[in-house]
Amino acid sequence: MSSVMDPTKVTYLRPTSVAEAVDALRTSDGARPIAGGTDLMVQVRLGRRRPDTVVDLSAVDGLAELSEERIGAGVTMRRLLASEHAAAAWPALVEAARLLGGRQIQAMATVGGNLCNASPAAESATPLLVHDATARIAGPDCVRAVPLEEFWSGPGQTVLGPGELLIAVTLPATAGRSAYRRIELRRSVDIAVVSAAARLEIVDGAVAQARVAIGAAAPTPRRVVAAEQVLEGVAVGPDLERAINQAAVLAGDACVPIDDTRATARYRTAMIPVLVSRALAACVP
Amino acid sequence: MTTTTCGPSSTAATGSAPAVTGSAPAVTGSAPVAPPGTRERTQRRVRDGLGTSADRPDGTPKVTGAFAFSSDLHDQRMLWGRTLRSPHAHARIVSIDTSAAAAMPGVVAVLLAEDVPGKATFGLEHTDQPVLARDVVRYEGEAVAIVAAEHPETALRAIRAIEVTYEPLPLLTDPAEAATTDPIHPDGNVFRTLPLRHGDVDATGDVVVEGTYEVGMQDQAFLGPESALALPSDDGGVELFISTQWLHVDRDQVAACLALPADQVHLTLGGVGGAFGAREDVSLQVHVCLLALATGRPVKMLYSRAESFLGHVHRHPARMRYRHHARRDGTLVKVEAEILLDGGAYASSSTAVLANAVCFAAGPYRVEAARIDGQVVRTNNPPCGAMRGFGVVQVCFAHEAQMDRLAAALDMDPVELRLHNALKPGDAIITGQRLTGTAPVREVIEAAMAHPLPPDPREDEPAIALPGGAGLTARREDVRRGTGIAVSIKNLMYSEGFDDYSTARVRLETSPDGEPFATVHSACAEVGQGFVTLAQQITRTALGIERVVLHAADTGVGSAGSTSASRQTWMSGGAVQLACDTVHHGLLERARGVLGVPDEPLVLEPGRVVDPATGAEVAIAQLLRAGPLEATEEHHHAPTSTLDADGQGDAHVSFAFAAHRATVDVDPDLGLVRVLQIATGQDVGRALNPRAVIGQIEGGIAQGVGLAVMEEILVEDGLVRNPSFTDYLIPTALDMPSVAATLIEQPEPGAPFGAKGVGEPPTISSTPAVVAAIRDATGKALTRVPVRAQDIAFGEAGAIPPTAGSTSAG
Repeated sequence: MSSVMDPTKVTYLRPTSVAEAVDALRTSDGARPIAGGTDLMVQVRLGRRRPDTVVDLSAVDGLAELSEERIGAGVTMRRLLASEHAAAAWPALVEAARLLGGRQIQAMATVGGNLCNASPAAESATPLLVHDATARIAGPDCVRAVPLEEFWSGPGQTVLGPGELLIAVTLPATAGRSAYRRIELRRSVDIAVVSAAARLEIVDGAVAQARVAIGAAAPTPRRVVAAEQVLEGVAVGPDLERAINQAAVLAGDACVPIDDTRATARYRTAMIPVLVSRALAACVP
Repeated sequence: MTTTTCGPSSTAATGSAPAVTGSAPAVTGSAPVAPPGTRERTQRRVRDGLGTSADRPDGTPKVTGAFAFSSDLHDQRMLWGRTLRSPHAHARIVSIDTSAAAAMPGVVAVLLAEDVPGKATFGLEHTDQPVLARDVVRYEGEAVAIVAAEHPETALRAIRAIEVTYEPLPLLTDPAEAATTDPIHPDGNVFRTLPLRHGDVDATGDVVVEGTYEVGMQDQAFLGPESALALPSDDGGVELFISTQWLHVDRDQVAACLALPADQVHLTLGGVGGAFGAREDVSLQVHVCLLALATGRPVKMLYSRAESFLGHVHRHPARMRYRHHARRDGTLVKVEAEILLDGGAYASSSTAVLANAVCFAAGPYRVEAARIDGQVVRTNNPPCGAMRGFGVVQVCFAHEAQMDRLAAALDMDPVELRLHNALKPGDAIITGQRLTGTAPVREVIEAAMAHPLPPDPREDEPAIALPGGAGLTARREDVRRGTGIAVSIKNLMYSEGFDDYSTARVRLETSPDGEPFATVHSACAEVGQGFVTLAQQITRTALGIERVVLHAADTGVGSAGSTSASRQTWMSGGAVQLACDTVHHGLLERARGVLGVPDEPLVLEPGRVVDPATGAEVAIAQLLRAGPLEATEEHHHAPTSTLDADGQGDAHVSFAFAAHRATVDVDPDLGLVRVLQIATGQDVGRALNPRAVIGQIEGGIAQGVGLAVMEEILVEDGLVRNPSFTDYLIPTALDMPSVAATLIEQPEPGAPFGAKGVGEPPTISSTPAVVAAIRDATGKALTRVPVRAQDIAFGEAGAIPPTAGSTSAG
């Protein structure tokens, strides 16, 4: 049993357009796209993936586009950290990008790669969920749109079909503050034990729209709609403080975490309400 | 007393080159230390001699990346070696089929146990570990086969093409069951049982406190993985370039397993990327030499990070039950302890680790009586052996928690309790051995406590400064601050009758440009501790010259012993000093001849020898025209004895002491900790290179903090679950506290230059100090390290109340 990638038997393709990339991905069942490679290459080294075809996305036209309503799949964490618009419009996402690995990783890792690797702990996932992101997926025939909360089907699994490529996420213009909080066992350069993102849009002294998402607490990053509902319509003040506590408890109820080397499921379940309440509190002006 | 404050978040002055001044009447101020033989007062001092913070000769290349670590070793013709390891923690090998691997293009050799020409096993104290497993594997990662191939990837594919059929055997993973379970090795499951009985073992105290403590398996986590290059030599022997801690003990084990005379096995030290005990045992040494001899070609081996975690020994996990008896006034009456260490599958240095755990079970305190029962056993867990602190780390965590419990029970300040019982010169430790050297226990405690506490948190501090760091989870108003103290005693050099001598050769000659220079040849392994700097400093001061060349450390000179047990400054520093003395003597002899003063006491000054009576002088360069002067000397420490049936005896050479006061911020809801500051007082004898001493203190504290709050190899059913730096966390710069250090300088009688080893103490008591501080902040009992976030969030409240000076932040 050889789980080692034989470099002499791997086909390397470097398409320059989305159409070419989709074609390239269809050449083999064992084809994998590669952007920053910060997850894929580690998995290859550990023998967890053995692609026979690697499709390098770095030359694909338009994939690294960053605009006010669209983040190309090829946009790196470093680009997000340098973007004034991102800092103003999607603060939770920028906070998360700052936590993803170290500087070198941030320079290579892309939003598309982070989402497609489909880790329950993926840093950019919960911030994009609270900003109502939609995944734009190019396939052989068309581009389809999938709400981000439906993008993942399990740990390491997405809804991408054969030959499909995530090309961007689009975000509606959202108002209000967002925040990202995570627990790490080391003070930096660690993987989230659990994470939470939140966003509150406050209009005329009351919550007009609330979003809550949790990471590393279930097989996929997920929104907690029940928690959002208890927040919407609530006036800022003691009522909102009570609602935040309620939302935190509901987020804890939505946890189905695992025990692993980093922490027990019990710890994760206990921490989610703390993180959610702190993330929500950070969204209140 | 030298006081420096350093570290990433230090607010006090940073001492880059602290001045050395005396802390006790016995200290002679800031003069460089004069070795015997140069005691005649020198008028001028040589540059970068003893007592200065001389630069490391390898400092610039290490910073610029030019330094060649052993992983950089290369030969044009070399093959790549690779090891097939057992995926089982305990299994019988039913069959091994190497035909597919051997037939692969590019594969040059595939070797099994039957291909080992000499001794089939190796080991530091007991040769119980097979070079390659023949019939049974006893831990995950045990070596089963080795291959050599033209390309590293080919070698990797080849080991995966070897078909091994295993029959899993029952696992022995609970050390408590080892003594009563069927032997998993012909030598049995108990490596050593060591009882210690001291004083009136039936004595009881007015106050008794009990506790049970546990220490997890820490890894040395050096950054340079195991690597070596072996070349067949013309005489049928082998040349090995290797990163190791003790060249000669490697040589002897390699020679025995290869059935070669020792003089046909020549070892040279490769650049070492950290050691901390993990390079004391044989890992790939025998394998890479076997492959070189089998193929007739140079062979390189380089472990991956995951393989490194399986390929070296770790710190022994410990379970300890303690009972302390004291009188109402706090005087310790008796310490009782049961200590169980998990040695893993093979003996390594387990027996010596246990001796340390037992001898120092009561800590740096005067105790009238002790009843200690120690045992170290064999299991199917990863083998454990040497790691910085060597058995003392485990018991220090326990006895310091006990001292806090006792202080609570007595309603006494924990610092006062420690000072009340602190060992002083002339006292005996629980082995009955009297402290004949310096023992500034009170001084190290007072020095640690004298440092200012870190400032109160500021409202405008960035969120990343709080517990939880970059995760931005903690809130200032929730954070609680705590402080804790711990004190330690550590033996220096090897114990129990072992003569771990060191050898050095010093040659003084002139270069073609006419300048005198000395060459120091020592087999001492430079693993980062700074012996290379020290050897130059000693030689400069002793011989009055600035140019000192270091011969590569190799087996072309006698053994230097191991770079462990905080011993190389004392042992190899002493050997260099002795060799310099002999050369110095020869130089003065020649000068007397040249100056025509056969009986005058002459003085060596930088570059020359002077007759103080007449002022006549002669240059060293001129004296060397008659040819080089060379001397090889061995340095032995004072002999020690074994421990008797009651664990009594003068088993140790010398002792070093340290105290640590930790200050932490904790978010109790999250269970997250930030260690803010470690203040320490350390007994160093003399600081021969103050900057190097501070480096050891900071590095040791980093490892102590790691054990306190994050570092643990997680083993489940004998399998290592986190063999990577993604999952085995070590502190980063953000986790490192600021360090405020005071060096207590009381020259140690019998020690070369009065200097004590400094490498281990910072690791030992920093861990319990941090945990005491977390207890102070949270009120949780926390009887196990590393302390996990969930232990704080859900842990039982403890009987260890706050220490003096505790504050609540926020």
